[in-house]
Amino acid sequence: MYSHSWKEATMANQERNTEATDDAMSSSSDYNLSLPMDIIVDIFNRLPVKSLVRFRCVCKTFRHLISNPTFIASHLLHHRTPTTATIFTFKRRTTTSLSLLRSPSSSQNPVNLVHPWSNHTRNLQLIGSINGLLCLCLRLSNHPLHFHRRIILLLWNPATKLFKSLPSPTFQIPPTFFHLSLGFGFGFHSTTSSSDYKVVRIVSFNLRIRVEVYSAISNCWREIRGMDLHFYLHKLSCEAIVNGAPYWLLATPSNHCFRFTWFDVQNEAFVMLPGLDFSGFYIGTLVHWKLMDWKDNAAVVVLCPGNPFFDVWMIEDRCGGESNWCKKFVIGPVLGVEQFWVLQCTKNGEILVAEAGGRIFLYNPRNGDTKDIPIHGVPFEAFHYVESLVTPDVHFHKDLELNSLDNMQIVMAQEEEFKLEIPDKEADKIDSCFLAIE
Amino acid sequence: MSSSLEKNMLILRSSDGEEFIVPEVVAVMSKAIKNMVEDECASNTIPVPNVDANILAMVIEFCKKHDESEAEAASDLKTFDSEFVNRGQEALYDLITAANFRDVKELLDALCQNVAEMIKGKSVHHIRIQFLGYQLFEILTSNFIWNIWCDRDFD
Repeated sequence: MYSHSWKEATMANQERNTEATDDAMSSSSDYNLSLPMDIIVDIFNRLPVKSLVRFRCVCKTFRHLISNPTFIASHLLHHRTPTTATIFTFKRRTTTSLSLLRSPSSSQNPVNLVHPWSNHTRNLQLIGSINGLLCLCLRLSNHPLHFHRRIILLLWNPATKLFKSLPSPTFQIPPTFFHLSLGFGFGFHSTTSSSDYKVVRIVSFNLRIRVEVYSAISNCWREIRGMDLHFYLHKLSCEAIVNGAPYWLLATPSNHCFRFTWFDVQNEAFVMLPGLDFSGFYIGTLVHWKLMDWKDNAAVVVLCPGNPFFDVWMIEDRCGGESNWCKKFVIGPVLGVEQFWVLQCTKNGEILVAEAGGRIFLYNPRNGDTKDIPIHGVPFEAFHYVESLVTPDVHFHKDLELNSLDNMQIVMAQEEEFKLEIPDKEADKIDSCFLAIE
Repeated sequence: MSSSLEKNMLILRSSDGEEFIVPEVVAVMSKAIKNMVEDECASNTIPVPNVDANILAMVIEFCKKHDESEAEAASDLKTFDSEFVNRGQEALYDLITAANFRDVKELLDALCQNVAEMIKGKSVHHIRIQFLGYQLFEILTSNFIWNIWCDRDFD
């Protein structure tokens, strides 16, 4: 019976083969196109993620190649500049949605991302987006006093649809704390020897600060100490992510003076930026500001209500090693809009603007054109996004560059250390810390 | 240096014996030939094995165009490139092999881009037939389970 069905299937397949060959190909039915591997890599580097995800099923060689970390890195490098998009979240009355705006955006409407937790849409928040990997925060509890409890952090790659939930942090918040605020940041660093994604968790209570860092390589949280910073945490995510480093605002007494700090992801330390004081520039107390990634530089965009122009402040290095904020550009006028605020500057120079009335549009500073984006809701966060094959699970061999022999040695070391035996079949599968601990 | 180079002509001989007279500036767009010329191990005639006359003519046409139009607008060159590489699969394959073997970076870039465009939206079945060739395809599809797996829509 079994062999019969086998044969039938094979025959059916052969029929289909010839059919497919006939309609797909004209002449080369027995033409073996075996290209050298480096050419295939070159071609694959130019393909979008969607095609590559599909081509993983073509054959074992392709699958192996496409899931190879070196290839993933080179593919990302190839796609980082030409195809970046902006991802932003919208809050409606009951739902939060993630939208993706591809650039050049003049031709395309934003795409709604379908995420695997659609029954928790209300309490979903985007923490950051780096190299195609999103860090999301999911709140399972709706109670205002318990908002900080039962929080799940996730790393998700929407292009490959792979995700991973982070382990729970080591520092748990007792249920009776008041005056508590919570902040997260998502960071990435890459050197020639290693690269790692990290999530920073800041807990501020009773004027004390505790900071924990999650590293994707070690897959665990670690507290960092020796800090005396007063973060101003008014939302769960950080202010901005520039070049893989998350930025936060520090609490200052004045309304016109800001201090920012950024997290050095590699050395796991906070670095202070010079204070930004624009009290002499703007009259009145109501000034909208936003820190953002302005073409890979940290910039503060300042808006006065009623003024169609806005200013971009950036850090400028002076001679003698000192650096200071200075007003770099004035952009505008944004015409036909009463009150607006700036969400993000896309990589190709267009500016995503939200109007007080709920309209969202792209503003092109070169010719003053505006283009409406057909989406309704209150925009919240906006980050740069690039489609990539990066997996949320970082494996040993990616960073330690291990081969199978090294892997075997690690397994043996584990066996000696913990006095247990690991069968060979299982041993092959152990390629991440997470599995190794199990 | 460049003016003296321009006067120099090189003769390229294809695998089937046909000879092409090419200015040296054009010929050295191929890194392999450039190395040969620089090391002065090339006599006047350079044999180009495993590239036949047909393909060699195409490669020379491409290099000539690129050499002439250095000053021209990049968009013109782009349209030329995309038209140039728009060929049948066998010619494309031969061109890739030639460009890879002779190390002509610009041509290889244009060709790879073209193949990428070609296969971007194709299904797994198409790739098996076109990209890997029929023989390998047959071996793969004789596997029953593999087939069921691949018949699913992965989009």
